[in-house]
Amino acid sequence: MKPEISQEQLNAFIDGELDLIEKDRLFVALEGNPELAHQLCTLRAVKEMVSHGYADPPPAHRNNRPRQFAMSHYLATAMVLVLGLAIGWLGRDWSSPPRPAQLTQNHAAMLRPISLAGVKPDTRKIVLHVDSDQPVKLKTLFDDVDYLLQHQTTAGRPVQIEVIANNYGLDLLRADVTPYAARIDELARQHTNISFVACGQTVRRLTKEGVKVELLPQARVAPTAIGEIINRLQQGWTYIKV
Amino acid sequence: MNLLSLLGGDADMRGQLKERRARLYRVAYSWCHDRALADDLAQEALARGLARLHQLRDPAQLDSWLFKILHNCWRDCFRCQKGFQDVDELEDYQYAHDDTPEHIHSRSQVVDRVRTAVALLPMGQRQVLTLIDLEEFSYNQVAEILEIPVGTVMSRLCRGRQSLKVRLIELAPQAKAAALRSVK
Repeated sequence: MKPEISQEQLNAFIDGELDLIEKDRLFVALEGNPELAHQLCTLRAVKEMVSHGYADPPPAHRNNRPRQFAMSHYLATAMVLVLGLAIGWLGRDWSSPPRPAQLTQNHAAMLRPISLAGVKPDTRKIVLHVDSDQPVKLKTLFDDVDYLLQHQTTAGRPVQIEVIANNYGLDLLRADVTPYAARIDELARQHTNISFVACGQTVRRLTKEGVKVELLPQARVAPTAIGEIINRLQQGWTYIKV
Repeated sequence: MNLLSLLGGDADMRGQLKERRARLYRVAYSWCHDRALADDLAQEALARGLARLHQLRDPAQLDSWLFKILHNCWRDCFRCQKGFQDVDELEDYQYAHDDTPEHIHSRSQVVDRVRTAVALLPMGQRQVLTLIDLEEFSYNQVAEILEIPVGTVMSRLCRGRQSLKVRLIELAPQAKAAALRSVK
């Protein structure tokens, strides 16, 4: 007589998850099986050890400074700030003409909200954006390109494609790491309506990290990929994230 | 027990929140073994919980509901890290390697060994194990919190305890005896 008791059941037993019938079966099995009892004991010890291990977790760093002190502290800081501002304002150069308004204008232009309202979408102009170097993604990218170019010849409608690469996707346009150099060269030679754009920000970041970035001759560098995408969208281009 | 009824009693509520926060922190700590991160996670979970208190349908489920939020916070914390497409992959990458911050806290040896052993478990097993052993949730509740089937809860728990058993009980204390046995 050897009823099968699985490890899962033993665990469920020590966690109090067995129902009456199962428990009964387990007790019967335990009677003639010291090995099983030992296993049960060990599991229970493990459970106890885990809860013991975290009974008293290390305290989180919390700042519990008394409130009144903090208030006076803030007050002093504020007073110093006001004093400094006043001195600065009084001591400023009254003879110089007021700052040109251009700066603030520029600033406002940078912060202007981006809106696509009123943009007429043009499905024949397509931005393909890739930010990953996973082979699957890159393959999808070229499949899309092929499909679009093929579609153009069959439907007789010209398309304009721009491939924008940033982040890990930049590898696509890096001469020393891309697996697609020949393919891109071929595409660029056969078609005038496809262009490749690299993200300048990613290039700068990599350069800063000490990676030498050498781009393919077919790639153009835009200041930022996001900026380029937004410009294109505002010109009515269609955006596809690969 | 019920946070909703606490809105009346201020002191009572403060006490309960404090206690819940400590529990959330403890479990978060057992997941990431990083004090600052665990503190942030507990705080975020509580804040989200309070903001969405009206969405809680059954007040009796408050605890598992809060821990579910904690689990979501934990996953969000991974999502905001760039460059990884798959959250599971990142979890394994970040938290399933041999180098743990455990040796920083050398309190008692057992506590240390337990935390090291738990930190070495894969994330899925670690979460199941800590929710059951520290918070004493039932298998069904854990399944609901982590959004996995009960069968998975059981198998992960089983595997987790098995590896802890090997690391904590079979390997460490009997090292001496084993060495002696090999002497002829």
